[in-house]
Amino acid sequence: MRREEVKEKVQNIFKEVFDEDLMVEEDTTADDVEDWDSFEHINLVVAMEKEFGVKFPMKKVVVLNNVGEMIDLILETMQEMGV
Amino acid sequence: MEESKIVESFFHTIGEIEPLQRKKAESYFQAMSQEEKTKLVRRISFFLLEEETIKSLAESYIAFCDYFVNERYHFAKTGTYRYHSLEETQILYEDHDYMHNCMIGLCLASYMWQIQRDIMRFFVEACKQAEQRNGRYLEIGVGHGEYFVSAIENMEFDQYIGVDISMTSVKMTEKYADYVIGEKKDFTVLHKDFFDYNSDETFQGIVMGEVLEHVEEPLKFLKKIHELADKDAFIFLSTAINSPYPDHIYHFHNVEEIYELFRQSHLRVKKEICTTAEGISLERAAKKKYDIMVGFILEKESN
Repeated sequence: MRREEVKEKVQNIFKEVFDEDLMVEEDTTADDVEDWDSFEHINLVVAMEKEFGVKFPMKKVVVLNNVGEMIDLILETMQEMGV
Repeated sequence: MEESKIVESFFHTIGEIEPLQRKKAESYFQAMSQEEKTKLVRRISFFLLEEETIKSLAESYIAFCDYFVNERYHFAKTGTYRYHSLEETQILYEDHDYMHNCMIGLCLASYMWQIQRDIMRFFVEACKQAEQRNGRYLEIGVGHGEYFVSAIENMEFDQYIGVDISMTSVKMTEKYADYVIGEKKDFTVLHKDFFDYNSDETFQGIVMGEVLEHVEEPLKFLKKIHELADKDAFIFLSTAINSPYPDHIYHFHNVEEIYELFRQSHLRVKKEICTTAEGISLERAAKKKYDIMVGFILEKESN
């Protein structure tokens, strides 16, 4: 899957999790999104695992700083898992 | 170590082990009252005398936080707690490392985290204002001992009895009460299942903090409290709603489920508090099923 495809799917996940017409960029951080707290972070992780058919190591997801790093992790994990 | 350095060192060490936690830990400290800061320092000082180090305390606190994250992840996927029976969680109670991390983490969090601190403040204020004097106080599930010690410090009962099913908790509470209270008041901590504890006399004060979510049949606990409470007893209870944690087995979905148990056990709510994590409204917490803690001052109704 190409990076752009992953980004589009991640964009949709953000809209679903935050239940609003939210636009994110690769440099979007939790400071840019009002309700993006530790609870929503876990909801985002669960939604991404389901969407991409992967399982992230918990230690890696808690240190993600922005959407770009999320996309990096998704691509890396998909490759490792052969998805 | 100087008191002012103790907390600085503790937060610094948390930050070294887990950088993401450092900023949070410092913000927690800023939100604490002077009395709470003093109690946090006192608790850390106690642990240091008990052969803990700042590093081991920080590691326990981080492990405790990790337990929450893992269970919140499971809850986000399934909508349920991981375990549903005492049989499943028994292995956790027998795991000394797990209990050790929980007791340390939870007692420090009782001052640091808003969701815990609000309940502790509500309890301490209720203790200070309680009209009940003399007689006996019973605490079910003393855990880390912070509530037990706070009650002894702020209330006027003749005797204080604590019971807990965990020997780790019993020993910790006994030692902490010895450290803070010494021989000034009469207290005993028993390693006992609450249902095996019998008394011919009623109690003028009964406290049960964060127990109901750990048991299979909370109504039985409430009915026994009703049985043991004097007619005008001071009764305090707290529990958790949508709060996944390794040994939480009874899932309260909302406060109405708790009110219903009170109704069935003839306990009336006199005063209550509802709280959640920093920066989150109760409305959002309820909608998104985030952790909510509730505390109650109850009175006994006749059957």
